[in-house]
Amino acid sequence: MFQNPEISLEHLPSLDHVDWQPLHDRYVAEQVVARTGTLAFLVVLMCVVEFAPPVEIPLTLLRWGVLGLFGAALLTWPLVAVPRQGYIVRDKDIVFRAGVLWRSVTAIPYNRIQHVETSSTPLNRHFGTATLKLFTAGGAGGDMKIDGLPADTAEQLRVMILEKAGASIEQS
Amino acid sequence: MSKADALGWQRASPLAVVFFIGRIVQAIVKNAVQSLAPLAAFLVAYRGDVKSMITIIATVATVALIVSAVLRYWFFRFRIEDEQIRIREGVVRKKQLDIKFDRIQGVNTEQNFIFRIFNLFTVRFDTAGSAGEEGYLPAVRQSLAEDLQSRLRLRTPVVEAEDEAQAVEDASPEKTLLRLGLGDMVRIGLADRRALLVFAFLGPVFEQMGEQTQRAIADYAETAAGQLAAFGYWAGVMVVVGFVLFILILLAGFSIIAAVLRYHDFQLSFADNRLRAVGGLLTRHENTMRTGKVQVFRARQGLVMRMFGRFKLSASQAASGKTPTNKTFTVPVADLAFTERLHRLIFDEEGRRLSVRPDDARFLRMSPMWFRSRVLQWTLPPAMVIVLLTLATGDLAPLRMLLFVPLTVLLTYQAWSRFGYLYDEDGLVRRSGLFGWRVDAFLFRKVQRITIKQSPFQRRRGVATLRMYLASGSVRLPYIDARTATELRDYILFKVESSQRAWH
Repeated sequence: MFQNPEISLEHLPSLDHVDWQPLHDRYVAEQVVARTGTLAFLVVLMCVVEFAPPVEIPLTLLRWGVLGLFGAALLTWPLVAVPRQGYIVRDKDIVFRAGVLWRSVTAIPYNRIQHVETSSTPLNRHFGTATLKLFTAGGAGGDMKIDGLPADTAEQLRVMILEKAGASIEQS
Repeated sequence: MSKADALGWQRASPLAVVFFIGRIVQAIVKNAVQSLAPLAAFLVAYRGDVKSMITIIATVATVALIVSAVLRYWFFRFRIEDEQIRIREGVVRKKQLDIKFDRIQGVNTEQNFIFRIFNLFTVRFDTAGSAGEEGYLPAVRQSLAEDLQSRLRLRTPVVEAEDEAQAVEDASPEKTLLRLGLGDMVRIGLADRRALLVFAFLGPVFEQMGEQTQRAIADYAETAAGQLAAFGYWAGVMVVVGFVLFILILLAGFSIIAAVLRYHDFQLSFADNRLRAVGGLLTRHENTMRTGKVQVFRARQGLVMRMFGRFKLSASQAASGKTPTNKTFTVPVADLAFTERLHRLIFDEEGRRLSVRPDDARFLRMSPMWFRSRVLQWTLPPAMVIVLLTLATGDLAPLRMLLFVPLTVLLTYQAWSRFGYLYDEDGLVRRSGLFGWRVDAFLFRKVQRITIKQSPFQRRRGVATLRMYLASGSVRLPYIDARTATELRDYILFKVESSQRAWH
């Protein structure tokens, strides 16, 4: 028997009072290490300019000053940004939030998911993290990308979401 | 084994050679024009008899073209089975394509003027999600094309027709909804923005004409100017105005001809939950789309269309995997009453209560913060640059450029006042525009994902940007009340998650 009871707006599940799941504890450390690599590359580049200059460039102090500030921001940013990221796995959808200044909250219902992907780089594996990517129809690239999940959580999520998405496909 | 299957592997009509010639030429034009450059260079450098050389090359090229088209025709075979169509093609690199009937979203047919004489069709299959592999059957008889279309109609899932009354309606014969006449061709032609692009091409063309022609034109202009001098200033103005008018009329003429070529005798019909559009002068294009597959319905008009009181309508279906271009079904020109009718037809009872009239008084506006931040972002920085420039140089001339400030503020206000959204239990309509209107409508249950974004400024003011992603693109509501945004998001998620119906 088909039923269609009325639902009042106040009783809709809301995202206002839920606990956001944090990312992996070591994700901040991983980000700092990855960014140190980027910074090291920039420092080497700067040294080349400094000690074997193709042409004479003035303002040495200013350049190193800017690089220093940029490097400090680069390395401390994960400390600010990562705690602001989080996700919620609900019965019918998954929600991900990110952003320090510009904050965004994205929600994907399981019955719209086309496929799920997990991936990890060698650095990820060293820190025990993994990336979960969810794809919906019509989107180019990953529609939701959650970096820094604990590797086993990512795998569990992948299996669970696939199961839920598959169940909805069989229904329709 | 069905009757069609009993035929086994078949070849297309020999006239398919015409189709393959067209395809090869298209491929050369698309991909290999650059590789013709060495040939051109060779001809320029060639010291012998250029004329006979060109004749030889042209003959060889033509023969090669015909031979390869014949070969492709010879190796192209297809077989229609109960569940699928199989196509084998390829002269050197063999290719087999199996297209399952239940993967086919639509069958489009095309008829160029040669095929028209022999009543043959080229059939193309819309297969969503296929990796850019395009299935087609060239030069098949009308009976086969119609057979394929009716097979697909039978396979239309019954999910869409939920009650019996609907099913009875579905079985009704095809209804013609719209027919376009010559007046409409004029409207399409005049509203065509591509006409302006011709201007962009004219420049290089004049450059290519060579010095001699240019000198001739300059000479002519000089003598003409000399004669005009006798008639005075106003005659000169008249000549310039006349010339500009002449060019404009020429461009309008071209785009009206283009409209006739594409849309001559355009007919839109509806049967079995399917929209069908046929039109075109030399090549007849036929497009079909199942209304259940429509993701976003859009009506838009520019300044010209607004003067005619008409809209261009389009319905887009899910973009397929690798090709980001989404399939759209277009009605080039329609009045407001028909726009509303088509919207109701496509979204059925779910879209019946929502109005797509852009002047509907129930539309909600975006927060005035949208207007404010737009002005701050796009008008203030350039204005400050101008003021700084004035201060730095002491030259007052740049200050005149500040006149753009009231203009952009006015335009931004106009855009803000036209921005709006309207929703009910099943769907949402968004309107926008500057001179004309653009209206986007969709059903909540077809949404794929939702994002709410807030900048620091937006957070302070309690507004947010809600973006709803559909399988054919996204619809954004910037600067709406943050409470409304989260409530709408939660409601849309509920609609999607509780929907049992197919979204595509």
